[in-house]
Amino acid sequence: MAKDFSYPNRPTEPGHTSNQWFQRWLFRTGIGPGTYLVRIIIICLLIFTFLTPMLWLVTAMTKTNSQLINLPPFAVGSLDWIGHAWNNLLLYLNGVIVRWILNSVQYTTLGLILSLLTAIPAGFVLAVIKFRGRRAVLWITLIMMLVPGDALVLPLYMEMFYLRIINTPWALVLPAASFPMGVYLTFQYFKASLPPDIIAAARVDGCSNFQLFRYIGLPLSKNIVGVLAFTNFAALWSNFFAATLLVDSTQLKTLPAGISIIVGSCGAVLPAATRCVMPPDGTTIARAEVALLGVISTLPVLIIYILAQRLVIRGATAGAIKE
Amino acid sequence: MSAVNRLAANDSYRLTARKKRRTIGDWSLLLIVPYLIAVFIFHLGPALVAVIFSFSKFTFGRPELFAAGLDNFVKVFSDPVFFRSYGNVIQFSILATAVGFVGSLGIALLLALTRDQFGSVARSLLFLPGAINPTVVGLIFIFMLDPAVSPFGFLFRAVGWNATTDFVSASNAVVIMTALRFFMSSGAWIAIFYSALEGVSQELIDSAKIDGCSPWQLAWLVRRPMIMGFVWFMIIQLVAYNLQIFAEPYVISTALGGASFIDRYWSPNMLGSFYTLQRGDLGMSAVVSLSQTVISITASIFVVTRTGAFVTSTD
Repeated sequence: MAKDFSYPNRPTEPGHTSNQWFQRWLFRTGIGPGTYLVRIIIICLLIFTFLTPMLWLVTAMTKTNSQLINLPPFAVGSLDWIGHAWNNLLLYLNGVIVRWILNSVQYTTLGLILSLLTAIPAGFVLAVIKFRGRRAVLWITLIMMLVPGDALVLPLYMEMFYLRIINTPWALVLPAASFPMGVYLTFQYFKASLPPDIIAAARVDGCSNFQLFRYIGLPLSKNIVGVLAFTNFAALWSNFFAATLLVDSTQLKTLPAGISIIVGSCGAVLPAATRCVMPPDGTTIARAEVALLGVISTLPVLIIYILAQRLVIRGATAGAIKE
Repeated sequence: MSAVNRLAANDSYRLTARKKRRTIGDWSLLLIVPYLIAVFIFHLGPALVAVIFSFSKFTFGRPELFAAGLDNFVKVFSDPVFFRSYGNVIQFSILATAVGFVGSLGIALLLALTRDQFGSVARSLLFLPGAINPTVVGLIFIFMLDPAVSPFGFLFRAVGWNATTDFVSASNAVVIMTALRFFMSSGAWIAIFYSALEGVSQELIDSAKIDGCSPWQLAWLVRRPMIMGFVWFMIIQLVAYNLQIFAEPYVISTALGGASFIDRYWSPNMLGSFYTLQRGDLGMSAVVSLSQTVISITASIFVVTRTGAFVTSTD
């Protein structure tokens, strides 16, 4: 027999019984209070497990090595210690850390601009203009979109070696021009937001394809720029394999690749290590310095994830779910 | 002007206009040219280079194209490190894909068990570790596995692990890398699954409820089938993505040096970069790249052609 899910009285109303309260709860949540509680507990444990390493990283940069061992994991040491750790990092190779941060900002910005400049017009053309080979371009775009970026870094190194752009900033910026995911998302977006009738009407009014793009496509693309930019930002900022392989000079490295250099040049993160003093300038790198580097490197992407999570998820889901 | 001439002039005008329109249409294709050039140079080009270089001989960095025949393949296939690195990533891919898939789907179903604000907030919080780049994740895991400083140290000590070496070794590197990948990337998959589950219509859920579906039946029998359309997409993508692992093991190996439980050739990409940077042997590196590229492109073609997860029609 089917259950009766008719909406029962409110608990505060006269005639309310515990059974009615239970029915009301069940209707609203779909699960019993016991299951709901178990769900909350499991999810809280998951959140704790997932966020613990991040919280630890933030508190670690305020603590000395002995405080890290003796104080509780989430206890805050001294905020002054952050400044101390930063000064130590500045001493490393005459402040190369600042150069790495600037490089990351510069490469990411240029790469983002380049990727948007190529992806938006290409997505528009694929969605709106009929031409021979259109389907082939879409297929190539889809296949390349699904190839993990790291799969092509080694052959890219070989190609750039012979194009003589290896060990220049362009080696990390120019590949951003090929952004198949951006092209596919833009294609999907224009296909959904530009009905054929509108395009036909614009053409009857004498609109050329260029004008269609200039007066209809570009203003409409404002909505997709955010999704593309946020989706691509994290990938460009976190780029490690390419930054390790395609540029050799320490001065040209990005922040993530630089972090690897710092931790690789001394044993600051070794389990038994207390601190690492590096010749010739006596720079001290300990866990607090490494944690500070981690926070600096994570912060820009984290801010974007918090502020624009909906857009980032939309980008991720649009790549995975047919709309 | 005679009627015939007028008609001819009109025809000529129409032809010119059509020709002009077609010319404008052709010129507008310039909008896609920068992307096509870029995709050729930075996606298709490298794949082609990997094929050519894998058959080439290198003398002081100068290639003699197709002069090596199968020598590079023989050298790589006779290097035991090559098969060991593939063995590592295959084990890792199987475990990480299974854990990633089951874990992400399970958590997403748990979040979507009922529609409330708590589920959305939890999803947002679980998504955050995805913001950490692989380099930092590698470092974080070194700290998390050190009982002296780890916030999970009390758990390690409770089971008798007082030093990192008590439970971290080359033999369980695959398990550690799986935990690391799950921590870093499951948030995105949870968000994708959760968004898909949220997309299931309320009417359908209410109908199932009226038919007597329990919450768990609702999750498994109603919600899960609605998202199975892209499950293959996810599994194949995860396998392809996991086979390419580089940053996390590379950072751990670099940071821990001789004390590392992961060597410099743990994954094929690490081995490829070793051949390139340490040995300067682009031919052997090309063979490793080619194997990686072939796997990735095959997986991608399979996803596009078989899973139906993407719009492939231009109409």
